[in-house]
Amino acid sequence: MFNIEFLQTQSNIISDFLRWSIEHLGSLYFIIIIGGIFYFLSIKALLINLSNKDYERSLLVVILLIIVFGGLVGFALEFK
Amino acid sequence: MRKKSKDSIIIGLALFAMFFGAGNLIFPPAIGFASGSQWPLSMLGFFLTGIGMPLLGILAVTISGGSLKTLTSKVNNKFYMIFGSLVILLIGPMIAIPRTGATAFEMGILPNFNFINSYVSAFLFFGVTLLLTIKPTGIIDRIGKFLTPVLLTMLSIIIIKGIINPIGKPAVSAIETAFSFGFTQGYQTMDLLGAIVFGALITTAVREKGYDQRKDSFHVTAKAALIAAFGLLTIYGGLLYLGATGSNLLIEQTKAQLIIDIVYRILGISGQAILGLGVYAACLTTSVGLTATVGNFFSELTNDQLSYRFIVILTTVISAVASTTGVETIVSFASPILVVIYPMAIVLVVLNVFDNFIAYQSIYKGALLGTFSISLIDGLKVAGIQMPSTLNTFIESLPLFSIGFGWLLPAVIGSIIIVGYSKMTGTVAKSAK
Repeated sequence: MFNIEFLQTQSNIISDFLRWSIEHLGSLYFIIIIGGIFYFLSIKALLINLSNKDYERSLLVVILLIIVFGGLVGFALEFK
Repeated sequence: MRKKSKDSIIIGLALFAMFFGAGNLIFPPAIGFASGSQWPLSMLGFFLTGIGMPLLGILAVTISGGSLKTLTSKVNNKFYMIFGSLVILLIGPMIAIPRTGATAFEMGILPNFNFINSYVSAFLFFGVTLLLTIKPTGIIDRIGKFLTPVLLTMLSIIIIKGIINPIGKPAVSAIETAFSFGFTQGYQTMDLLGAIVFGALITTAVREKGYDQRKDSFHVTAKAALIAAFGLLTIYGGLLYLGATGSNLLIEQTKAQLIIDIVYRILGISGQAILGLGVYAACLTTSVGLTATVGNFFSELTNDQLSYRFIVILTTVISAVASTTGVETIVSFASPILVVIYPMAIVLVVLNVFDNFIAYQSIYKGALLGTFSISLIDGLKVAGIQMPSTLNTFIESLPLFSIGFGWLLPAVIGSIIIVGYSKMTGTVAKSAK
């Protein structure tokens, strides 16, 4: 019942959903909702690091945010 | 100039040069050439993964404690020994170091001194590498103060002349997704692997200069890493643009031949010597950095039972032989292993970024296991082993597979499963904070 094809269908749903959401709801939606989840967690981590005066780790989070956010925006614009 | 700033600049320049191997010289022009008029978008994508990820890797190693051992400490010692040895061997004497020697010969020596054969070239190249690495201290200074200026001067001449007098206008690109193209190409440089081993070398150099405190050491390393990133950004950008300006004139060819043709059109016959010197310096700095890293890693792993000097000598001898005989054979054997370990290195780096929020050590194990399950299949495919079609379809349907991140979802699922299992069996270990 739960064979590999089952998993495959689920995975396609995720990919198709991302593409569909960009095509129908726009890239802004994609960036806010899809990227937003990652961003919410990362910014929360960043704020906690800053409040703990852990500036070193904050820098790392900022770099990761730039890579991921840049990637999301770029892909969103191209999917559009 | 303050000592801290001076040290950061020297270390930053050395780091830039160690990253900037021959591959990094021939890769950006090829991306620019393929992207044509869309080159700015490709450049942006390439910067994010080709520079951002290595920068993140260096800083993650530093913040974890400054070595591969500390980066992998949350998994276990066996993982450190196996993963660390594979990374060091692959980007050391198995692939990267012999390749630097082979490329220095093909692009640096042969076009300018065609009477020198590959054996003499390898002897000279690895002789200099050995000379610069046999003493474990001061390596970074030797690269930063002497070799990097040569490399930067040669590249600057080519890029500045190419920008002032472009050889042509970028062609209208056939690539619809230029950003994704650049992003994927940057990911495929696998420079993150270089970053995690150079990170350890840089941290050692920083400590040698007297920055023992964690904060001081991180500040100097971070400044150096940002200087190196800025250098890469400028040079990659320039080379990528040069490639784009050639897209209307030149025909599709190998990446190495493309940069040779572009430089010839920019500087004429003298360009051959300038490019040759640039390539030689790029290869030498990378070879020196990697050889020293191999020496440090294995002497530490064996508790100095194998001395640094012995490993460095052995590495240069093996690399010299491999560079003249069979780099491609070794590459065909080693590439699948690279494909398997590269995503694992990314996962390790990202987890270390959020390490202070990771409650359970098993998150590391789960994420790495999930990643390994996908990257192993990718590796087997690269090795030419036929996979069942259903498995292929499954892998290809994973989110972000097309840009090389198919392992991302399994990594998340893997960590959830392992943490859940550990909690159920009562074997969950909390991370030390």
